[in-house]
Amino acid sequence: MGQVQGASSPNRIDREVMSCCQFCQVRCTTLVQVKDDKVVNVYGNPGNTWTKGGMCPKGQSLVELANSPHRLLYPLKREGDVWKRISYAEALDIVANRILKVKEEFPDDYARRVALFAPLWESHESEIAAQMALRMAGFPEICSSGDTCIGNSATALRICLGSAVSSTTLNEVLNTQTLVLWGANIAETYPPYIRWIDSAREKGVKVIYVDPRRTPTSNHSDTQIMARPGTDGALILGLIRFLIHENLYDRDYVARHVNGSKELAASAEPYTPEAVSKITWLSPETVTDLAKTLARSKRTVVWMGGSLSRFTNAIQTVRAVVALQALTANLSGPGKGIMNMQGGKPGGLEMLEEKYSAKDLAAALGYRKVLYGMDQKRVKILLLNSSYRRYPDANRVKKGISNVDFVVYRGFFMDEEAQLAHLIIPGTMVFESSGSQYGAQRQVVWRNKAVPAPGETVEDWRFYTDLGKRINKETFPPVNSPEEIFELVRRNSPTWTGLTLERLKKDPTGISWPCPADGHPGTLGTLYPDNRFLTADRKVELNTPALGPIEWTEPEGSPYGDSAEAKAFPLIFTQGKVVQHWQHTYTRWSAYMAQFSEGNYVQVNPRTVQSLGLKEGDWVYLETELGKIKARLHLSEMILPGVVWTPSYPGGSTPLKANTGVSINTIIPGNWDKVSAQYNGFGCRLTKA
Amino acid sequence: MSERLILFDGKKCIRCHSCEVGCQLENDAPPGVLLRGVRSHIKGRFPDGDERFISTACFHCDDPACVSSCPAGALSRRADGVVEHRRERCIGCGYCIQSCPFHVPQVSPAQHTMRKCSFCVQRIDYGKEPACVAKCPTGSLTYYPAGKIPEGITAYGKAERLHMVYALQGKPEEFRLPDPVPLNTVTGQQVWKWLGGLAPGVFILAWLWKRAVSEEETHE
Repeated sequence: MGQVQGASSPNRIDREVMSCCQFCQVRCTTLVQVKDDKVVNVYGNPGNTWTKGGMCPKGQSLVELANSPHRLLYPLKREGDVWKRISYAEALDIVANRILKVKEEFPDDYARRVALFAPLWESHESEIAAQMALRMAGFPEICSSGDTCIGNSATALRICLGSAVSSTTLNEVLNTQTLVLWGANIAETYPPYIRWIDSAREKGVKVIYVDPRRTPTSNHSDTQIMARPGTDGALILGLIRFLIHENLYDRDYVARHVNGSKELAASAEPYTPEAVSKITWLSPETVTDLAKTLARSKRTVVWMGGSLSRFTNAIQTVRAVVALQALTANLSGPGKGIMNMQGGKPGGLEMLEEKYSAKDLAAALGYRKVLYGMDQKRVKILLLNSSYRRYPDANRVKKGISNVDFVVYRGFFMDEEAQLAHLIIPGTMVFESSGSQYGAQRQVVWRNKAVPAPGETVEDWRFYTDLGKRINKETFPPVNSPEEIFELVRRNSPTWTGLTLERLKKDPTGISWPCPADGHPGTLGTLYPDNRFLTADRKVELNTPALGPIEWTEPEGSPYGDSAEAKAFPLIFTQGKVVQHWQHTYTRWSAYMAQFSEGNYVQVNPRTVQSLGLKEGDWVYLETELGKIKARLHLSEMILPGVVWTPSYPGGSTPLKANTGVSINTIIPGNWDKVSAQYNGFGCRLTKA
Repeated sequence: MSERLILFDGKKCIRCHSCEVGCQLENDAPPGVLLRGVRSHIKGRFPDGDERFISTACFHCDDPACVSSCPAGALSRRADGVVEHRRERCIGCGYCIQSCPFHVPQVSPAQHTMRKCSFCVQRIDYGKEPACVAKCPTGSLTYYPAGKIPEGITAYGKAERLHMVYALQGKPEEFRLPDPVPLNTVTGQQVWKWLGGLAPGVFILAWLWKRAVSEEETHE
């Protein structure tokens, strides 16, 4: 017995391997500590400029999850009521043969019969391999996680500015004057970025936080604006109207760089400070003061939280953010721009798609068409590579999936998804594979495999490469490693040319694209130098007839809307992340994360439940038009009265009680706008359980 | 030898639990045994609700009561101020739990010994920061190996030469910290009194001792 215990004295570990976290887009690079081919601990890489070596608990939970006794380690085939262990080769045979059989059986009509629920991929190579495998074989139905995440902000940014990613990078918050965190709870979603906000404030940057809840981010802001959830669009239109009426906008800039300013002025006209006050519950002075602050600010960055995308009016709200930043000439240059909560998905992959992903194939129609296809029993094979519970009205999705002949699950644990599968091919965790990942600062990082994959788990890139070769015999590129897939991407995308593997493997921060040539340092800051946007005529596009005017509407099902049913559900439903859980999937299998969790609960202001005779700690039913769940009541002075907030992590199937609960999406009505799903802003009620 | 110091800065903490989990992974503490814990205090009514945080662990007192009270010689104060706990000597008797004015020590049911913050001696002795400091994403925990925090910072425990000190966003009692900082009141006489009172438990102690030893052996 040695005198000290723990992992860090040199004799306690065999090696440290440069890796990165697979969860959010901060993309913390890490040093993974390995002993006897097992991961024993993980530390943030202190050389990472963006994180300074910090980490959040989610990334650390992977140490426990990778070594979890609950992990699925071998492919399993359902035979009646029992699971039979089979080899990976057998499992691959079954999937490939099934897919080829669908093509044989429906020679003229197979494209919509195989679908993939894609995850947030654990490496870019896996994503590319899956796309190539399915699209080359003629199956375009790849439902991305964006559909239900920040699809609205990505789409609006792409239409208005030309690229779906943030228009600038985090370092520019140090060069701005005003930083608006619009629904962006940085402390609980991107914890390592709080350092940057603190540094900005030390330099005198004023931070304005828009959120109906006081959160740890509140302590890192100068002022907070607590508008009614789902009314952000009205507030922004109110600001726009004020800037136009008071002549506080940059006329010259708008004339030179913006399409659709006349239409904007017309659609903003009804949003007087008084009208906005009525909608948002803010005072008219709050609206005009904010407008004046933004007009005075010489440089402003607006950072949009994911929640902005999760209302049915989201696409217009995000277009309004772009319009606001356009009016004040804040879209290009140092200390200016719009950021969102999204990975800097590489731009410039068109060449690759043309060559390897059958670009001429009709565009993917997305999740709703797949759901319809499942209802019609048209979908024969579903590759369930992610959670189905990410979609609203999750029980309805489950019913749809039960109509599919063959469901292949790529997961880690015997969870809700596994229960729907006919075949399970378990995946590897982040320490067990190599690959590149992109992050919110457009940075690409490389991670090295730290330990061997346990049992017969296989990486996503390997599964889809193996499958791709089987179902595209002649055409699939001869790639056999993530390195080779990475090279394929790099050689075929001009913005990645300089991102050589040799450079990436050495760089703990990663390199931000565009990086057009070998030796190029990468590009930070604005994506649109000199206000040259990537739209058709290089201007900010605010006039897109297909999307209609930029205006505000009540969120679908809002208790303040016109419908009669809405009145039966008088409280506003909102949900969100907690810092210790990644979405609602596998951190639920971590006992370390369970320490800070407590299943389903609701946070409400005491005034909200005054008339209901409810008190702190009571069990209540949280009820929507779809159904109800039992939850613990927490009374809090930190939330706007009239609003209910509940965490999104609980789910069934895990043995850890504190992480267990009912998936919140089972009671979320399946409302969609033009782009993506609604998760917030409809009506709900609380009753004593 | 210079004395080690960790400063907690309440302005920066976001209650992300990273220090707590980082500590557990580094120090072989099972889920449920938190050697570092984050608490919060809420003041004010809506819309001015204001929640502030504190991350506490063993305070590594200058004159530690736990060391005075330990009958097994498992606790000692190192020259660098770290209060070291040698688990292989611990008999799980709980005297330290009684004597600690901050209620820090706890018994790990799975490990049959007392557990508390180790100051990550297995890291600092190799020139690294303690795990909680290394994993903190906001810089609210800072390690000062030379024991001097910057001039001008007022910190709970600084004057009393604690080795874990706190720049708080509020009053100590709001974060359940005793004010003023308590000093060691354990005397030799008191320890003998406790021992006398617990004489019937000697056999249990012996049994625990044996069990602790065999537990360590199986861990070898």
